[in-house]
Amino acid sequence: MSAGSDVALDVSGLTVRFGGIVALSEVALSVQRGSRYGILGPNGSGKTTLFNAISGLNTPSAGRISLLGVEVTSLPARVRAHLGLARTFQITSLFPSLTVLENVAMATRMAEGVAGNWWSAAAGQTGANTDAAAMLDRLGIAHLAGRPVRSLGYGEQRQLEIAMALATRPSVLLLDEPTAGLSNTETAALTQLVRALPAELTILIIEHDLGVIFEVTDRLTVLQNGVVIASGPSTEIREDPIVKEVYLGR
Amino acid sequence: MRIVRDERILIAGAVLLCAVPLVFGNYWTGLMTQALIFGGVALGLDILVGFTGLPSLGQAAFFGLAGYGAAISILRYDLNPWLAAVVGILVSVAIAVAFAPLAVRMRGLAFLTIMLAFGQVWWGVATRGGSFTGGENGLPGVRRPSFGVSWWDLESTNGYYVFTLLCTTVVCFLLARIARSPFGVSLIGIRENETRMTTIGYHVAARRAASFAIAAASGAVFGILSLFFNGYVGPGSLDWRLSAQFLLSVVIGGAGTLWGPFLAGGGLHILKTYVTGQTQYWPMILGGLYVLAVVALPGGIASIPALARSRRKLLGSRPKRPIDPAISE
Repeated sequence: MSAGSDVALDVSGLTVRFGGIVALSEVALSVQRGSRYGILGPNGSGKTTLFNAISGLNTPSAGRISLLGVEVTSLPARVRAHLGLARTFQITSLFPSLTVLENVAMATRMAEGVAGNWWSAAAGQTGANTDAAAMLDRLGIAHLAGRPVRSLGYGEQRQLEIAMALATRPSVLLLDEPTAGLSNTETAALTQLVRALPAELTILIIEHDLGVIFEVTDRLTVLQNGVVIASGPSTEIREDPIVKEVYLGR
Repeated sequence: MRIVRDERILIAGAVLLCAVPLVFGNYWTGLMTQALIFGGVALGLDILVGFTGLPSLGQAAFFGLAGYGAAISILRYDLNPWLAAVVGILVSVAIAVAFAPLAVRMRGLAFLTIMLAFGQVWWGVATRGGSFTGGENGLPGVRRPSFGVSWWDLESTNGYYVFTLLCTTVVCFLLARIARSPFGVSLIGIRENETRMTTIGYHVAARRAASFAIAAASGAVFGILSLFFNGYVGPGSLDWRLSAQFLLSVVIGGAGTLWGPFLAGGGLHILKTYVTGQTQYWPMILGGLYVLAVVALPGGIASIPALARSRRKLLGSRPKRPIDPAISE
């Protein structure tokens, strides 16, 4: 890993095909360390496909992905996680029968290096459990710790999504529509939460709520039909005539 | 090492079961020996089925392969029975480890059927193996090992029962610990959300394979115990119908609870022995029990205590302890 590199994530020539459908075509983007980077685009424009490719859940047909200076294009998802990548899912992706604390502890045990222990009781892993409890506290959901996830409300599950991703202690965090389906109040709270995350954490965020996008991000890439149609500082993208026509203008 | 409640219950149960030879005669002690064996296989299989979420219809393969491995070592190569037991277990586990990478790429129905095919291959090898495997007749005449002491004679029904009880307790203890460990909990995570496990850094395929090997290894241990109990191993111990009985034990007992499948595995064997002595309709009765369990008791035998508790609550019977006044208004 080239420690001096200021680029957290570099994607070039990324093409993803599903059968005959080109989901992403020659996508390139470069994300600086500590950046708040937004991905904007209509439904079906390839945003989640891009996140899946970055996190290693689908295999690109062409192109390169480099994470914190390491070429990861052919590395499996779990290795990218160990390099410092974490993500949330647009469709809530948790362990429904486990409690909220156990969900987060699944991630903190990995971060603490005790996930391979096959002899001691998981409930007795004080380090990992304390970390998990602290994470819940940070997101303001400590009171839910003992509840099974399937009994949570939707908004609470969305917060847990983020708690689990943060619990892996990532350097780069991908947020896939974190406010999807939330009320205005919940959206505002979540926006505050994202803004309060440590400055050294690099964040990529897919979001349909333009208020959130312009409040949180400093740079933007706009996708349409799998192609980058604009890229640059958020304030400039806002005024870009093509973007206005395609996306913002509606 | 902290001994938790489950482990105290396990030890108490084992101590209680020590009394079986004192209370019952040889017939029941022998039957209980087999019940422990079949319960143990179901409990080991539960790690794979209930925790990892991979339903296997091939567990008898590991049970039978260990038996054949040990029997052949003794009868064909004149090996010491203790050593032969180790060889049998190693053969079975080695085959499991070799097959695991392929098997764990499958899920659900695909996994179920590939395990069925895997089991049938070994059944075919055993029945077509000529004099080496004893063909359809299997391998009789396997003598039990000996401790070389007069006070613990494994040739006696009672001595072998206590030995089986000891082995079963050790295996149950190990599996119960593994199930509660971070590794065991990660298997639940894999069952519930494989993608999430991958993206937080877990090696899903390796953990699946490990749980596959653990289930196989415990099946192998009980395969050895069964071989020495019967003095015989035959194609019946590799039969898919035996695999089906193990899988049904897990479902009827309550997948993912360990003790449920153990009770169901042992209970079904006792019931089977009784029913086959009376009628020839055992498969129908097993099928009926399965349907009954799925319809009336989806959580299996293990869900009965919780159901009974909630029912008592519904009936409004007085709680054991007075309700905390702070909670009740």
